Amino acid sequence: MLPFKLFLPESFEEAIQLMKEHSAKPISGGTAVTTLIKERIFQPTAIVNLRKLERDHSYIREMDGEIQIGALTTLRTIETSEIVKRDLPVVADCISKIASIRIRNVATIGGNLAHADPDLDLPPVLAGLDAHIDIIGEEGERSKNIKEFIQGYYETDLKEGELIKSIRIPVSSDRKGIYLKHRALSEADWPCVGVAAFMDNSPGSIPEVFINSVADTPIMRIEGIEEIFSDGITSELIDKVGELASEQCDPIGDSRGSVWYKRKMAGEFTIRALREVTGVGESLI
Amino acid sequence: MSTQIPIIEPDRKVEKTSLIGKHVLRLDGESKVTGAVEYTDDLPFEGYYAEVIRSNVPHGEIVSISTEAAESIPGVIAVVTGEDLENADWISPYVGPAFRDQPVLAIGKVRYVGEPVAAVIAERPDIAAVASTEVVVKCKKLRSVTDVVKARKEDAPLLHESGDSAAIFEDLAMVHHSEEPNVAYAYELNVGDLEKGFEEADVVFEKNYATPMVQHVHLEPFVTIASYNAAKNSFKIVTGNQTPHFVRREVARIFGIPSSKVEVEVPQMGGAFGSKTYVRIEPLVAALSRAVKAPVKLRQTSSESFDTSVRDGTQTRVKTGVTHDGVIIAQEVEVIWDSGAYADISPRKVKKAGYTAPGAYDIPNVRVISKSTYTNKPPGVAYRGFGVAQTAWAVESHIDDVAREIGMDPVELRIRNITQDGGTYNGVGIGIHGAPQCLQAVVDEVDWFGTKLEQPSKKHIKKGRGIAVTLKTTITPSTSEAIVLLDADGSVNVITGGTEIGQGIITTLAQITADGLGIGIEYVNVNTPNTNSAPFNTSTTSSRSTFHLGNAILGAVDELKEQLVEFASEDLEIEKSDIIVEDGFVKTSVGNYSISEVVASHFVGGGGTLIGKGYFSTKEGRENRYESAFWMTGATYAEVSVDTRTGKYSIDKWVNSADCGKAIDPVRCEGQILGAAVQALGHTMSEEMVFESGQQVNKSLLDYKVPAIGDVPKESKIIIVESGDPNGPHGAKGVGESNTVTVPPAIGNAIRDACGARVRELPITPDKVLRGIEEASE
Repeated sequence: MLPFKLFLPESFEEAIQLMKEHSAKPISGGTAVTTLIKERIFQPTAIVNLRKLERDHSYIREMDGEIQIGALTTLRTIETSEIVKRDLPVVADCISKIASIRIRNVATIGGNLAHADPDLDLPPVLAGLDAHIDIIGEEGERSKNIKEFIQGYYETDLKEGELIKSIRIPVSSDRKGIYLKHRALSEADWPCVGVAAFMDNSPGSIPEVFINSVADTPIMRIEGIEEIFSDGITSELIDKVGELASEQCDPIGDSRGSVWYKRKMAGEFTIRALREVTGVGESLI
Repeated sequence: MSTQIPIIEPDRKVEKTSLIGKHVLRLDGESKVTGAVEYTDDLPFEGYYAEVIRSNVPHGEIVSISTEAAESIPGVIAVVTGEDLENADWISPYVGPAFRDQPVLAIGKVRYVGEPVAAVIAERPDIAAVASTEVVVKCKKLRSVTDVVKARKEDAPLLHESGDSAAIFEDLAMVHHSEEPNVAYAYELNVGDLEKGFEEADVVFEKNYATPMVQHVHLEPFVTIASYNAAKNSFKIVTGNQTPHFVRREVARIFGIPSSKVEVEVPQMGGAFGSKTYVRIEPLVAALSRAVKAPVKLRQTSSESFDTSVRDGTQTRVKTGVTHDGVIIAQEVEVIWDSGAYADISPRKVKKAGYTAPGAYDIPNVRVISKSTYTNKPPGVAYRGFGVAQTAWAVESHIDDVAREIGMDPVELRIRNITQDGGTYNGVGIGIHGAPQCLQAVVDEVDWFGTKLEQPSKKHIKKGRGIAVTLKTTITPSTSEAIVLLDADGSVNVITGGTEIGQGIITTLAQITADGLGIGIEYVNVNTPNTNSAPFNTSTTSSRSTFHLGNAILGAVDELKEQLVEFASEDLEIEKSDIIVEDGFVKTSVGNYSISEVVASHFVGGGGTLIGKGYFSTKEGRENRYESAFWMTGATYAEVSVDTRTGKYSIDKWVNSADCGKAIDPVRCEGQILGAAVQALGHTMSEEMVFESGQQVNKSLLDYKVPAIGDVPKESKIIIVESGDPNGPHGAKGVGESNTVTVPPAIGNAIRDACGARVRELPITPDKVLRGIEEASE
């Protein structure tokens, strides 16, 4: 590992100041960035470790029909939270499929989302739940929908000197969702493809599908579902949405699967997820 | 040619004694669980730190290396290049166990991405790391070749001009480069009349199979400390290495000094699986220490392990002639090994794995062609299974293909052709090996012929089952020696060159020693090796340690017992024939004495040491050549469910059997069997080093996936077969590799059985299975 300066601030304000002064990048759990530093893919001169902010910013709160999660909350804390398990079971389930318990014990939700890796498990689920990211910076605080927050390949809406402060997820007992993670190489692996499907319980409601690992962001929304399901939902029409998913995705071939395979799996897991949330067709999971 | 090994005693000697066959908690277990154990990197160190600069082109001529910028950084002691070593009068900078083809640092040319080109030595590791980025290597790119087919074409760029045998090992004395371009060594075996065999066969079937380069993923990376003593012109090397005596010899040779001036110490190792054999970074670190006349430590990263040591990839063609009633009468196997840029031990690998390429079957007409090929990739080194994992992937997949071709149950075909215990193999007698027992054990366990798998209710899930069996050699000839020091208090120190890699050899040797003397295991201390005191040991490889070191220790124990009898006879003035050493006592006609009493009363001055020496050597027979001191055999049954819409499969159940000869400790044997199987699960499901234009693109555990706990089959059965090796200590032999060999083809065969997809190239990814399903339905 090449040497760099390491700062341990105790507040967001201090962290932001340090980031500015030293052109430093922030880390929280460090599970992603440390690997990049070790491999010398990322060679920082200074790092701001947010670990000490955990004292004030690791929390899961219920408020105004939302659940607010502090940026420094570890994935494991969220996964095992009674509140999350009760009100957002799809989030708890999704997190349980990320990496291993040891990783989830240190990885934080803020760090996870700020990393914006196209293979992240959580963003398609948070997109389906219409989650908001609260951002703090020198200019003050602002909020952004997760779908607009993640903007491209490892790119977010975060400006220089800004940090994620918390995540707010609306709670609705009328919204049903599922996340299916397809792993090609090992049970402890990134997804080959992951599909989140969500649907409201109201009559005539149209499901939404978000897919990771097959585009430049972890939130690829399948467009055109409304047209296909305009006269109702059938198993054949679900297959058509699967085809749509295969067509719309733009995967990169790698050891987890060729372009051919990932396109096929985007379609297959779209079908599987839709069968589950709509209750139409035989379950394939 | 005959392959009968010299037999010590013709009968099987499975013995029941007090500590043999019983589980003993690992003596180093607590220190490992609590983290107290010291690996090389944990040892106190005062000196300089090195960092290696590596080639970033697969093949090139070194034009210049500019070191000034790095050298001007405060704290940098020196930058050493291959040219510096070539010009130095104190080192002959080429190494290798088969050919001396590998420079300690690249000289003139680089031959793979990752090859060490220069090294920075600095006061601190961080200074060395920074300085290493300031060394600028300019290379003129040469045409490179990363494919074994292209490498052997007439117009292929040659990696090496010539290559003579290093002439260290008897079995490699005759190896030489082939006339075929880039073929480091070509082994050929001919048994019977192959063409006649194919003519007589009812069906002749031919297919190609392949395996990629994979990496050992030993958690402890390569770490070496070397301290040059200028006053004595000697070295002390502390290193994670499975062959300390080879390191000693090779380091002594390159510096032109006697072996006795090279002290090699090997602390506990955090895994190796063959990667830490012969020399890795030891010659380099020794050279750096010699250059700056101070201790130097080099601690590499895991991705540097991927850079520099791999398992050879293979492309194998198998052609089999079989009768309608399932008698295999002819087989031709051609294995082309992708051995990377330097030969390392590949010539032995292609020879040994070539010999057993026809699998565990007694086939009258055989031809094997096995070629180690140079390519511009990291060097292929030893890896658990030593080539047989690759050849068996081909042959054990092929046997199922052949069975399907003639409409026979694949296990039936195996049973009809398996070489019998004490039967013939490759046309000559083979002795006791246990292969049929291993196969029978799994067949019986799952009632193969009496049971049919029930298909799940979900139509897109298909279940299938498969079996594979293996026969593997061990390194032969080889030697192990042991010294057992018996103190006046009755406790003993066992001194050998055997290294603890995590396999548990310390405990196994303690068990054999304690049992031999009849003392409690708590009185036995087994030393990790230091070549200044430890007698010669060829290697801790090839699952040879229990067998060879165990035998050497039994010899040493016998010597101690003889001395005890002698002392008691002298001191008590009774006949030797009236004395026996048993259950920790010297039993005589005038009473029983503890061992410590006999030793203590014989010496004066507060103590005394009895020295027992033993050695075991599988020397060449007087008339016969032989292939293996013992045979490793095993079998795997795998039951899979394949999702036919995704190609993803799960292993619902597996049964692994292996012949231990005699299990010294059944629990540790089970650990070896399961460990070998799980490691092979990675080779089956996911592991593949991916290269693009000679560059590795997945050299970290983020993208190079090894099995996680969730991948291990939940229903698992391990069967220890005890065929009793006539030459083994208490009948024991090695057991560490059989199931590394059998797992991939067993799973491949089960997948074929389940859904019709036959994947012939490892790893078996869901992508390949789905393609196979689509091809099968076309």
